[in-house]
Amino acid sequence: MWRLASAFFLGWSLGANDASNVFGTAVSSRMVRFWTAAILCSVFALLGAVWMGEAGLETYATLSSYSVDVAFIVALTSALTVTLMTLLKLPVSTSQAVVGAMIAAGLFADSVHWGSLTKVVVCWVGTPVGALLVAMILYKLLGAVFNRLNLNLFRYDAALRWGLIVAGCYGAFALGANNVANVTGPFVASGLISPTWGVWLGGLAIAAGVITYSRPVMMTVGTGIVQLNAFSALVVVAAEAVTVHVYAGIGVPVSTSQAVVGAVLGIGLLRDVRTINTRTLGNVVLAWLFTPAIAFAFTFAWLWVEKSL
Amino acid sequence: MSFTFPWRGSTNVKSRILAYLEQADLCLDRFAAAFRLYLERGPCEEVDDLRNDSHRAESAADDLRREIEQTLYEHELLPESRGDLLSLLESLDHIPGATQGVLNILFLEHPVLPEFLKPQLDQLVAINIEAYGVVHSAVVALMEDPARTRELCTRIDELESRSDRHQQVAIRELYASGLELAGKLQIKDVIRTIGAISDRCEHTADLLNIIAIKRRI
Repeated sequence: MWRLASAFFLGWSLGANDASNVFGTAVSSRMVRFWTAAILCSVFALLGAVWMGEAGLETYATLSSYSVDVAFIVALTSALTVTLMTLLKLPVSTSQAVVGAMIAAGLFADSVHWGSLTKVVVCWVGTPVGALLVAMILYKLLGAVFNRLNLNLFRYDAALRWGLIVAGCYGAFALGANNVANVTGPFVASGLISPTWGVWLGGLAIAAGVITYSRPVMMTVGTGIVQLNAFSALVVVAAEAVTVHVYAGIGVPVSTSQAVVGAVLGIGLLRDVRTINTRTLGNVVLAWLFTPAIAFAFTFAWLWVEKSL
Repeated sequence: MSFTFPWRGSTNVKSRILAYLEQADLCLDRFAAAFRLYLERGPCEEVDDLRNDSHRAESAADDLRREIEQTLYEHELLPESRGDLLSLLESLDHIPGATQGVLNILFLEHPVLPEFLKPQLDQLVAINIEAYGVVHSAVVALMEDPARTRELCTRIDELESRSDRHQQVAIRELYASGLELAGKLQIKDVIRTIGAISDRCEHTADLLNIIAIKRRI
């Protein structure tokens, strides 16, 4: 059971990092106090994990078969990859790291299910593209509603503040539902714990990350999103939540960070194409390619060295 | 754990802005009364009293502005709205300030206003007071019915242009007269300082327009 510590560590870092994608805007602009956001985010992430997280666990179980030892290595190398990409300041996806590591472990044991893998990779491409489209639709729809309501300055402000809180709670729910499989998926696939234990343990690990260490990331990433403007920030969080929620239903863990980038690009396309930062876009593409590749390399190298010894 | 309900801050800020406008109204009302009395009687105690009333109202408005700024800095609103309101308040505050400039000239320099210019000066003050009145309505519209803000801002622009034209006519008449140059320069200063009120109003109107447009998606 001690091997589950690596899963808890991965879940903790996921919670600490990804909470910024759902509540960063609200906290960094100080409209919601950190503790209010952290508690709301952790409660809704746990709720999402427990309520809708099992579909993702099932997908991971079909990717490959592992021993408990391999599950431990997958979780640890994924966490190492996430840490490395974070140090390189690239928009990292925990899902891609975990899947890259799982494929390496599966190839090593010659037990990769290519059908499930194709589904996962298609969804990776679909995440930013889906978020981009959802953001464009939401921007137009919500914009028309706001214009029609002719809200005065204070009501407009209040509507955006409540909207960001509600969208943040929904985003936290989708985060828990979608990403819990990254945390305990390999251990459920190895048979060490049941799916029910998997969603509870993963959900609690994410919640712990949100509560204990999400503040600095929220302040950094949140201010980046707020630069758009409050209305666009609301659309970004809502589009990210809808997209990630859809993938939670399909049962494929995807990256909330990449959904955010897709949504920001969608708004950039609607407002002014020149506002799109091509360097950021390049970084996203690099992270797309390198995250699973690095996790794959770490895991394969570890297993190869272990076998050689 | 504490949570700031969005409506609480808005009510606080809105009621304080309305209170600020009341003081600014009083300041401009007393300014207009003081200036008209000066046109009638020249320097006298009643003009000084009205000037003091106007100054007190301007100080009270200033205190309220500082209170509102503090409330805003305590994070009652979104940073975007906070920034917009802070700029608006700063701009608004220059309007009562401009009236004090005119009253200070009257109080300190006791200029002798020539009879032939008095109707022009009276009308110039009326136009500038009207411009401020529309600014008041536009600020209220921003807080209650933003769709009206644009129309009111256009009206402020028109009044500012009228004020400019009046100033030009008055200055031309002034320089065509046989007054000595020192007197002409002193009265030109009075005319320009009155005109500064609608210039400030126009600046505030520009800001109001931008704030309203930013909230159209």
